[in-house]
Amino acid sequence: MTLFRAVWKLLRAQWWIWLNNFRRAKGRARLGYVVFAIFLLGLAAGAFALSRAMLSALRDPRALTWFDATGLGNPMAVIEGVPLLVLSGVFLLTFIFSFQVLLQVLYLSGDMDFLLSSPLPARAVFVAKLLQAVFPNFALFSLFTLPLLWGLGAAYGYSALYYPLVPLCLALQTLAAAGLSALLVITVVRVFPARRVFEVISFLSAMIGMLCSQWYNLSRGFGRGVESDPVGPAVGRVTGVIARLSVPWSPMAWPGLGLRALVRGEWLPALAYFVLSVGLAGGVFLLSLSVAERLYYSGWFRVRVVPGRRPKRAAARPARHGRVGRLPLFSPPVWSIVLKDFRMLQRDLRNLSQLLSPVIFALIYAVMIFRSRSAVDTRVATAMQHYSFYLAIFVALFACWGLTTRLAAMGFSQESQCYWILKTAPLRPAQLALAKWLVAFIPGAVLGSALLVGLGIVQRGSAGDLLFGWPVVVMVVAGNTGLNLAFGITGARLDWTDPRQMVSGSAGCLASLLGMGFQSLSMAFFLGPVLITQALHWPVLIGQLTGLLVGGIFCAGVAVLPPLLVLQRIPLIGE
Amino acid sequence: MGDEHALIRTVDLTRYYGQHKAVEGLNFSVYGGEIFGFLGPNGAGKTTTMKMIVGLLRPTRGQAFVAGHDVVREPVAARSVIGYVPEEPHLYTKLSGREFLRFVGDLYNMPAEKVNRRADELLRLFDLEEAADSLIDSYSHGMRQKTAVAAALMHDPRVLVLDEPTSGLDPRSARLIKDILRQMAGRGTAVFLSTHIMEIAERMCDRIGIINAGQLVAVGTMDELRAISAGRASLEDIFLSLTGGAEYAEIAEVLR
Repeated sequence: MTLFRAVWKLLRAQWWIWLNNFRRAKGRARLGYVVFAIFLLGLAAGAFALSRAMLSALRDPRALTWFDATGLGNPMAVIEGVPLLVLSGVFLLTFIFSFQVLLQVLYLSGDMDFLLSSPLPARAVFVAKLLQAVFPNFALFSLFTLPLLWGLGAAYGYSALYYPLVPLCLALQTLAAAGLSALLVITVVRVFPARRVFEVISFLSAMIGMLCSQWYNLSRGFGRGVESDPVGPAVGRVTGVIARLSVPWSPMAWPGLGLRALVRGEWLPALAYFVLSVGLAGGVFLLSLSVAERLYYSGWFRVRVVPGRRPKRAAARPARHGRVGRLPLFSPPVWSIVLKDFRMLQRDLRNLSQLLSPVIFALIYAVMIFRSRSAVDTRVATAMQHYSFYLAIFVALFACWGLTTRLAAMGFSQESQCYWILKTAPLRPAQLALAKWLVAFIPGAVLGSALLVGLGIVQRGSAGDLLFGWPVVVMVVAGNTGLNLAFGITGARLDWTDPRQMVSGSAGCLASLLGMGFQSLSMAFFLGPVLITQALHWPVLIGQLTGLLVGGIFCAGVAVLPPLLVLQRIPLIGE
Repeated sequence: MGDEHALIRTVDLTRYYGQHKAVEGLNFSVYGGEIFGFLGPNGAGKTTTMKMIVGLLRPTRGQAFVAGHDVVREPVAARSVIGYVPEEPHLYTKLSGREFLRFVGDLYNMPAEKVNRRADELLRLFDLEEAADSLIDSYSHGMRQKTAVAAALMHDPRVLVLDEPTSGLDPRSARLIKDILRQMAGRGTAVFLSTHIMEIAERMCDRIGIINAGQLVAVGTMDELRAISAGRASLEDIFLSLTGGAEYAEIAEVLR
């Protein structure tokens, strides 16, 4: 079978799978897909109109005057550099993001045994898998970049040749970057076990992604402070980046430079850059194809050879199992599930990244809140001094909110295909729910308590404040756990492959919204009586005790009632 | 033997998947001390039946009783006497074999000392001692299968339900499991197993049930099955005659 024919058959099979999934989806889900597709098209159309309007505005004489006045010069340098900036960004992002996807698709997908034992050329399997991995990235980047680049063309009346060349350049960049990424994957898998690489990369990418998303806040919180006029320096930075990217020897810049030459009417350089771009993408693709011919199959074989390798030792041989490992408060089945889940979370980097992200995210915002508080007017700060410990409660709760939410919501889904073990064990649904509740509650309560004590020490809070704040944190965490556990039960998914898919979208969204509502309401119940007694100049203790009583009853109700309401759904999970 | 003494009993057991009838109107019993082989072509409803017996699936209609307990109404009592080995041994890959067996022991509320002793015994029995403290992640399919069988035996169940227990095992491990099942039956355990290997069913099972298209088409000892199949000698012939042997002859013709 020829390479092209084999690739075509494999891609067609993927198309059939997608089509069958769509056809057999429930009516509501199918409608959802259609609505989502229309929404994306609308989004793209909106982005096109917006970029066209905004970029056209830069031709306005007032904009040109502003550019002159701020010393930024002619905006056309930035405008013409936009394709270069966008296409270089596409190359870099594709190269980075493709690594993890390619690793999974090329080596860890479930159909590899079948495909590589069939009479298909290994190269064909490689190409089909490569395209399969690249297409989602390409579609995503196209959705965001095509409207922008076409809007730019429409705003400045670029030649008709510009419009088909933009998607072509995007495709070339994606192919070249993915080809390079594939070469890297093939090389890495020859040295390190694919599954371990995937776990480590998943962990690192989650961490880096989260830190990147918070980069602006981090830089504001820990360094530069607020710029009075962020536009000028930002434009300056963009101009600088474009200048750095505009180097003819950088293959990454060739398609962008080609488009820039085209819009300037420099036909010969444009042609040269396009030829170089096609040559680069084709060259990388052919190189990866030739490497795949020799190394892909052998690399995949290394992944499959399980019995020959030495089994990994567990972190440490556990101590003899005895009463030490069991907490008398809970029955052994409940406690054993809790311990099992903690072990699993700690040993599976993919899950660990899902847990660390909300904690780091929350801690960053906690620091931001404190820093912004220190920046407010001194008179306000003095007036607020009285309530400063309550802010510490907020911060502690905010920091452990993400952790609790994630752990409670994914408690059941995390069992995945192993759920049969719990389902066939002699456990009552209430025992299972209690175990999962504890798995989410304990880390949240410990983190929240530790933060509260730490912040209390920093703020020199009184023992009375701490005695009031600690039960507040613990009870709100308990309520949040109960609420999210209930949604985790109703939205449990055991068929996930990516930890981010553990809980169905609608249940996850609803849980987040109600969770935020619950946190606000519970804080009102706890702190409301305190504020009232202070306003009335009564002893604060009365307000604190009333708050603990009212808020405690509310939180206890939310901790227990939602899981109880969905208890009967536990035996149905996985059917 | 009266049905009231059966350790597994199904009454009109039925399961639909949407409009599709996976299993319909199953009535059979498995007694303590016997090995009951459950045979059927692919998709006949074997796994669905087993899943209903162990409580993984709810019947659309009918009931399944284990040691006299209705698996839907008294699930905890029923499950406490069952040991189950699924077709695919999905285990917690981030636990070691020893940790997994101890976890299972705890789930069945066994005393801590007994959990330790039993886990060590089973690891030794299944030749998993060396890998006992390694993560299951690194186990081969056969090792995982043996771990799953060991886990099913942890609480010394009165009823064993095994879906293709010897699949993926080397001859030595397969023999070991067959011997263990025989011993368990000798001690009064009801063993309910499905298999595609006719030799296992013929040599090991005291009684055999054959299911086809969701319906039980025959139940009995080998002699009883021979009697209802016009004296066919081998279980394979009986199986093919009851489940559509003509189709197989046609397929053989096409493949020739």
